[in-house]
This record gives sequence, structure tokens and C-alpha cells, in this order.
Amino acid sequence: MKLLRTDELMHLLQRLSDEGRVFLPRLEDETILFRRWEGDSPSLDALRAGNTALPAKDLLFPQTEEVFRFVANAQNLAIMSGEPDDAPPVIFGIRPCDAASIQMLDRVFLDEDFPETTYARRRDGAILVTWACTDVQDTCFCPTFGIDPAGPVQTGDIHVTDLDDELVLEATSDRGGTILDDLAEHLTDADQGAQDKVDSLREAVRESVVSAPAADDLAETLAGMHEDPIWEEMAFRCLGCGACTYLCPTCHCYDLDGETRGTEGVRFRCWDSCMFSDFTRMAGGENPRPTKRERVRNRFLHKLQYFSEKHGVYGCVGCGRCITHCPACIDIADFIYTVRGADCDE
Amino acid sequence: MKDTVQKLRRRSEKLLRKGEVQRVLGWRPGRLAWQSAPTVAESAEEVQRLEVGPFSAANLTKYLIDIVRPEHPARDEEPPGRTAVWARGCDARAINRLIADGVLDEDEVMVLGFSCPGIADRERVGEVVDLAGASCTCWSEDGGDSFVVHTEAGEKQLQISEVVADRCASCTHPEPVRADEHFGGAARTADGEVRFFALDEYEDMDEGERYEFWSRQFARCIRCYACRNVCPACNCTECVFDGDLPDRPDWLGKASDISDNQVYHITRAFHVAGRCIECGECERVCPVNIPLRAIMQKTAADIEELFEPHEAGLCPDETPPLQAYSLDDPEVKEEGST
Repeated sequence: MKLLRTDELMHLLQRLSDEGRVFLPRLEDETILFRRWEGDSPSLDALRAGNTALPAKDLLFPQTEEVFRFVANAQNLAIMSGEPDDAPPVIFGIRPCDAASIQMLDRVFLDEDFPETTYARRRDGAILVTWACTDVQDTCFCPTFGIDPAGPVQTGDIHVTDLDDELVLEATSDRGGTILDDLAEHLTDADQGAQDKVDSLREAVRESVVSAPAADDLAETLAGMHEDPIWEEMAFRCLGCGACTYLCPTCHCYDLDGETRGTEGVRFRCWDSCMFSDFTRMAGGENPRPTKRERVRNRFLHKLQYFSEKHGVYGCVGCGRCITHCPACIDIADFIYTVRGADCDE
Repeated sequence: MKDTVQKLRRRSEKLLRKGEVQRVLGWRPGRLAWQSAPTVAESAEEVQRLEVGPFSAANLTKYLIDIVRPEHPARDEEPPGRTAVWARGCDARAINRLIADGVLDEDEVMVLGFSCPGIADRERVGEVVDLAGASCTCWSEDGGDSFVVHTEAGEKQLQISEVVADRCASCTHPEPVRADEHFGGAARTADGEVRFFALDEYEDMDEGERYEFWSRQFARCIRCYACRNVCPACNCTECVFDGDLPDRPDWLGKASDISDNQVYHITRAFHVAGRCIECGECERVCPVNIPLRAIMQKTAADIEELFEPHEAGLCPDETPPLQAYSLDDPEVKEEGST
């Protein structure tokens, strides 16, 4: 563990910018978002407040990305590969829940047999500087999925714990170690006092976050609930917008779409949402998920049953964004309590 | 308000018992103190869970559309019958809009209107009390429009007016404009002067600043369509923005970029211009805080200036100015003079 004076944070950012474009939480019109660091003094308020409105997903898996372009006429067809922006990002100040969510994206896009090449290029070179949560929201429930809200994360390279005047830095990967070595002149060794502060802060934060009862057999329980009336009730409330899926750090469904103007065109990949009615509509018009009941059920079961069955982990990290923003108060933590037959006040 | 909620419950129970309505739409408390979820009660027992709380924000009328126009009706499904709705000014105006747009028949709905004290803004309440640690928020026993937030540290009483949402502060009709029955006393006094107060800060910008401001807002849009899906004026059977419909051109690509995002927001603004009931739900649900209400207020203010004083949803047989043609319309006069 090393200590960096908070007012010397610029040194760390400058060193990180040698590795790639740095993105960090920034306040834009009352909304905290990951934005490009322009060499200016970072906003500590934005770094310390709750979590970003949108996860960092877009930096590794952009909402819209060109795949190829073409020019075609009656005789010829020319296809040019797209020019995706695949430079690996440095993501600074990402919360443990969001950093953990990248493991879920990796399982989907870094499949051994069919790796997604542009994702792989960004991901392989990306640097994650995780930031211990201190401003916990009532919608947070990451410990449900074994995530330590103020602790380091497997996917991260450097972990930061904010002790106001000082930042405690821990290298959590070899690359992170090298970066901290290079910064040695600005760092001091953390003494026992700082260690103790980090330990007690971690424990206090962990205690303050809701942990819903998602024991290992939740997926098995859900497997028997396909026809449960709970789906009707949730579907009644659902307005069928895509806020929950687009705000979700682990949702990864996409569509390939295109635009053609005269003899030229472009094909792009873009996020899609299983909550939209046309998501599963077939070319002939048939739709295997014809109503909100099937769509809501699919979203919850994908996160808490299918993903777990396929990959051995749940497809949710408890960041709480879908809970904060659902216009109809559909609450995935509440759903877990209900399925478990547990009282959320306990 | 506490008393009003009791009366609404009692009347709803009776209506369901007698079979005068098939269901009642209201809200119910959620897991967290600020959650109040849209809910349907189909029996007298289920009515017990209904509430109107300081955070009962959702406009319920979108659910009426689902009821009278199910997405995938079963062949043997019975007609939906009659639905009672607990309604404030904005809900009642939305119901008028649905009737005027031909979505809903008057005999399909029963409006149980109540005087609205305004909805508490979650962030404003959070500034004065630890809402995250609160176990519940309840109306005060004294019968007024104040509520009590119960936390581990104790109780905090707040007046709705101290923490009211902006959209409610500019509301001109806290009383339901249509009600089969009315509950509760008089609402806050509505002040017509406050209607467009949110526009001032935008009017102060010059053209370049305004363009930069709105470009930044739309660049942030993630096209989740929450603003459209929550809007009672967005009641088309099929939306022009839902892509890939057979035999239909793709008016708008699925790509999320500033140009497509602008097309979406500008088109939507024009589609609902004159029919927007100014409930502000679009702005409430936007996950990236785009000030969508300002766009609708600007169109409403322009309609007032160009055509005639107009507030949407005040009666069920209204014709919004942009849906009517009159020889007195400003563009007719302009054409005539050139």
C-alpha cells in the first residue's frame, strides 16, 4: 500500500495518460458521467459522489460502432472494413460493482472460440483504476453478489481508497505495480495507521450496504418459477422502456443494423434491449415474447438464472441503477427478497 | 392527505364489492422510502395496499392504455370493463387526452379525483433528511399536506411545499379537471403565472449558447425511450420510432448519435405539441437528466403566443390548436398578406 497526497492526484493521472486516453467521472449538467480527462484538475466531488449515472460499459462496448461500409452497383460490390475506435481506455474512478461487471462482459465477448475482436483489443489494453465506495446509495446491493464495495476487484489494476487528504493506492495487477513504481517519488509507504483506517473504512462501508439473500441456489429456485404470477404483476407495471437495460453494466445484447443511401451504405452494431417489443420479432412477424410478461421474465431470468447456469456467476452486480431509474419502481433487489420469501427490513 | 387516502380506499373497496368497476389503479409503497409503485387492485382486499404517498409520482394513465388496448389480446379474453383511477390534476388531464385521442371511451373509466398537494422531490428531501436510512414516509396525523420521514435518528416532518418537485411547482391544475367523485379538500392555489417559469434560464441564452446547450443534452441521450413510454400523449398504436416494422420505412436508425437523437426529440416534441398535459413525467424518468420539460413548455408557450391560450386535457372533446385549421391561424394570415 502506498500513499499519495490527494492534491497530487494529477501526477497519477499524468502517468496513466501515458497508457491511453483517461476517462474519469465528471459532472455534466447535474449528471456524473465518465468523460475524457483533458489534463485539467479532476473534480473530487464527482469522484466521491455515489456512482456515475451510466456505467463505463460504453468505453469497452460502445453503444454504436461501425462494422463495415460498402459501395454497390449492378456490377460491383466493394466492402471496406469499419474503422472502430479500438484504442484501449484508462478508466479512472470506476466503482467495484462496475469493475466486477466487466468480468461478465468478458465472459460473453472473450469467448475462447469466438472472441469479439474490437472488444478484445480495447479490453486487453485497458487499465482500470478502481475507487472504493464511500457514498453508498440506498439502491446499492453489491454484497449480494460477493462484491466488497470498498475493496479491490480482480479486474482492476490499481485500487484507490480515499482518506480525504491522502489516497491509499494498492496495485492489483502487474501493470498497476509498474505504474506505481514509476510514481515512487510522489508516494510514501502506508504506515499501520493508514492500513487501519482502510480496514475500518472497508468494514464500515460493507456494513452499510444492503445484501439481499442471493444464496447459490437462487438460479435453481427461479428455474421452477417460469409460470409464477409474480411476472404478471411486474409486467403490469413495466412501461417497456429500455432504461434498465441501457443503464445496466452487465447487459450486453446488441443488434446489427445499417443505413443505405443510394449505392453506399454502412453496417453498424448497436445496443439493443430485450425490453423492446421488436427485440425478438421474427422477419415473418411472429414474436416468441409477445407481451411484457415474457420480456420482463426474460430480463430477470437472464440475469439471475440463465447467466448463472451458463457462466457460473450471476449477471448482476448490484449497482442499483435500474432501481434508481425504473419509472415504475421495479426493483430487482426487492424481487430477490420476494423470491426468497424474506423480509427486506431484516 | 391521510384522511383523503382513507376515503379513496373505502370508496374503491365499495366499488369493487358492488362490481361497479373491475379494477382500481393507484400506487403502493415500495421497499425504499421514496418508492411508490403504480399498482392495480382487483379486489377489496387488494385495495388495502393502495396508497397516495408524498412520492407517488407516476402518472397512472399509461396503464389505462394497456388495459383497453392489450398488446396481445387472448381470443377468449373478456372486454376490460370499467377501471377506477385515483387521479390528480395531471392524471385527469391525461385521461381527457386519451378520450380526445380516441384511445379510451368515457364509460371505460371512473375518475376518483383528489386534491393534489404536489409530489415531493427525492433529491430535495434527501438534502434535509437521510432518506436512504428512512424506513417510511407517511402523511402527518394532523390532516394537512405535511409528511413525516421516519429514520433511525428520529422523525422529520416536512411540508410538501418545502420540497415539491419543479414540475408540480409550475402546475396550473392541482385539482382534477374531471372527476366522477372528488375527495379531499381544496388543493394548493394554482397560479397561472408560474406555468412557464422554467423557461426563463433558456430564454436568456443566445442562439449559439442554446444550440450548444441542447446539442450537449441530446449527445447524452441513450435512447432508452423512457420519456416516450411514460408520456400519456404518446399513445399511438405503433410508434414511428419503433424500427424494423414490416412494410414500413425506417424513419430513424437504431444508431445512437447526436443527429438521430435530435431527430427523435424534435419529432416527439412536435408530435405531442398541443397535446402535452405538462405532467413532467418525461423529465422525471430521464436517467441522464435532460430537461425535457423545457422543450414541451417552450412549444406550449409558442402555441399560446401564435394561436390561442391553450392547456391540453382540460376537456375530453378539445381540439388542440395544431390539429385544427382556422382562417384566423397566423400562417394563413401570413400567406394572405404576401
